[in-house]
Amino acid sequence: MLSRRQWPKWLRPMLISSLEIRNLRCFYGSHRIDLTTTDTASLIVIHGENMRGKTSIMQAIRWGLYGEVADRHGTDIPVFDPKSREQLLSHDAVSDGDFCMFVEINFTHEGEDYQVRREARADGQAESNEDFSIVPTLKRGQHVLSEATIGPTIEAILSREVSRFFLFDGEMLQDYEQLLKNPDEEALTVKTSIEKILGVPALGVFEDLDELAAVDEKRLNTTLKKRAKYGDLVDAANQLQNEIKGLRRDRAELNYELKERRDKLAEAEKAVSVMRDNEKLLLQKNELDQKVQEAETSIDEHESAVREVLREKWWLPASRAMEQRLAAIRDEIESGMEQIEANSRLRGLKESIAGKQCTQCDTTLDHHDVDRLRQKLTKLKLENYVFEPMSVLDAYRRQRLYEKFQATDAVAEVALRQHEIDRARIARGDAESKIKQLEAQMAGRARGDMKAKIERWQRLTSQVDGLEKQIGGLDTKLAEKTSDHEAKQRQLTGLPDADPKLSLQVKTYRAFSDIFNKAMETYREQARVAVGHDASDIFRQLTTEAAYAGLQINDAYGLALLDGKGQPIPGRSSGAEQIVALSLIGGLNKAAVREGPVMMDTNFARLDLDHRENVLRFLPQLGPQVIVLVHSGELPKDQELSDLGINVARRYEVIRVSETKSEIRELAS
Amino acid sequence: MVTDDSGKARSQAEATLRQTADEHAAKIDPAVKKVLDLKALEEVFAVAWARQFDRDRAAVQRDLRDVVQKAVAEVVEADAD
Repeated sequence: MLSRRQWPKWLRPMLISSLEIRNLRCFYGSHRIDLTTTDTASLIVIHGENMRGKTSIMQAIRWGLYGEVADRHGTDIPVFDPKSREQLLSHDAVSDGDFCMFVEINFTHEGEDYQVRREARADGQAESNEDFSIVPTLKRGQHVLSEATIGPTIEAILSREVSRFFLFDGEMLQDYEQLLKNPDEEALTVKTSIEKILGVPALGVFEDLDELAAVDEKRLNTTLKKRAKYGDLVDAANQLQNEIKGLRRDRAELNYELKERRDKLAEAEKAVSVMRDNEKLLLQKNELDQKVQEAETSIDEHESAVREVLREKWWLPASRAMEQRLAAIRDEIESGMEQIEANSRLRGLKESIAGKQCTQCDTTLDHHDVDRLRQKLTKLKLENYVFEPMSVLDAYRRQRLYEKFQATDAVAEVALRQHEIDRARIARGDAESKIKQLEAQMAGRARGDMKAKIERWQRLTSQVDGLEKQIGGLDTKLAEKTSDHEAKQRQLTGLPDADPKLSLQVKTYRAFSDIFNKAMETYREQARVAVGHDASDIFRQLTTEAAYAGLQINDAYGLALLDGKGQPIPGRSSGAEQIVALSLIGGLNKAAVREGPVMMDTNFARLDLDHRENVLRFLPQLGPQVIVLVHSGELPKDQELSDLGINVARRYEVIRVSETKSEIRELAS
Repeated sequence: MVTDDSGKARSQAEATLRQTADEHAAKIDPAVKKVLDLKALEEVFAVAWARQFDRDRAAVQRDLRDVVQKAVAEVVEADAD
């Protein structure tokens, strides 16, 4: 097999060789990374924890190529926005009065070196985005291309429409299925983009062939009209041609208006959806405000009750110490009482020995009994009992005093209320923190009159419907006139007096147009099926679920999971969604008219370890250059990919050097 | 791993075009068939494929016209002879 560098020039894919970023997002100052890969090591891994700036690298490439970047909600990010602070220009650069940002991408395409550079600069202190001028430059080899050709050249190399499948964000792909289910403009755009990747529009050249035929038909008619006998037929054909032109013009105007209305409708839908989201957020905020209020009321109530208890029982804070003291006094009394008891027994023994008669039961004692009692007496004396009745009385007095400060119920009540106060404080803290989050979410969002926005949306919906009907009517009329015109034009083209060369040119254009038109439909279907098969093969390679037989592709390039019996499985997990999306990307790249670099800012964390390993093994097959942006939860920095048989060309790490600044450092491969 | 898939799409599209032309051969004007025999369809396809991402439609049409006019001129000249 030939290496890519030995392929014919026109086949050699686009490969990014380096990227330089200055003052973009968290990359303050200049940062350059080498992205060269080889045929045997096509993978570049960029590690970085969340919020370090991995996505900014992808955004830098997008901005460098196309001059625009959207956030995950599809909203364009301006170079500079001092109000929302969501901007491309580094905040640190702004603080230092540096209002210059650029991205420079060096790449090769069809064997030639290119350098695209886009610079945003403001003279002096910028106050708004309008103060910036954006200057793109594109060099092919040493030749600087004119500004007007930059956009079309980049479009021809890696079209913006198809780039979503090359420079893709895993989070956005999550919505891929949903996107195709909606029969709206965006779904159509996705389908068109996919078909563009597959080369379907190349066969759409029949429209150009028809236009060329029309030009020659006009020339042919002009020569035929000179002969009186063909005058009426030529006039009739020309008349129809003019009517067709008029209808097409009307249709184009209506289409333009429809596009405008649809764009406005999309904005209106978005505004209504934002308002609805805002309402939901506001409702949540109100509920949380209510919770804060309730917690504060509860804290006030309990604190006031505690204060009330303390007003009456001011000594309560010392009650625990007093309780301990009271317990000690009770121990003292108990011990005193034991002494009294022991003294009474001593006295009894002494009397029994002296009278040789038991004082308890009056039994006469013999000398053995007397000896035994004497021994007992000696033992008791040895235990050193001291009779101090005064100390017991004192202990009783103290016990009575301390018992006055006993308030078990009050202590329990205060403890309970304190617990309630703590609980309310935690609830208030939670609610306040959620309110802060909601306020951050709501900041900068459009506000306004919901009713007016819904009315605008309804008005636009009805306008779009009306325009679609008008266009439908025009299409029918256009088809009739076109058919009439074609019949008349065929007659004219076939006349023996027609210029043979012009006549054959018209016939050739028309025949070729017909062939291209029909072939396009066949090829579109073949390519779609091929993508489905490739995606299904890749899916089987990636999945660890034996129950899944593969994927089935539908007309809109949506993919359904199939069970062992070939039946679609409804619903799937977000992990499965990701595997399916990745399979589609793989299938598209395999069937694409042109290979290109694939950059993935995806989230492998949703995948279990086995799936993750399968995906990692598959990555190098995605394209001639695959750049993945991963955090440690997806791929630890110390994981050796060579253990999985994967050759990594280069490894980088995005490191945060301060709250707002990051750097890119190369790691050993 | 490097696959050698580039060019697969082009071959597939061209083969589909050729097959469509063959299927419609009966309906094609004999003079146009002569143009087809000069591989003009393949040449038109080559322009279409190479220029598929080109937004300059006038330039694309100019290239297409050149190919068709050249082939037609050959056929007309051959017939005149």
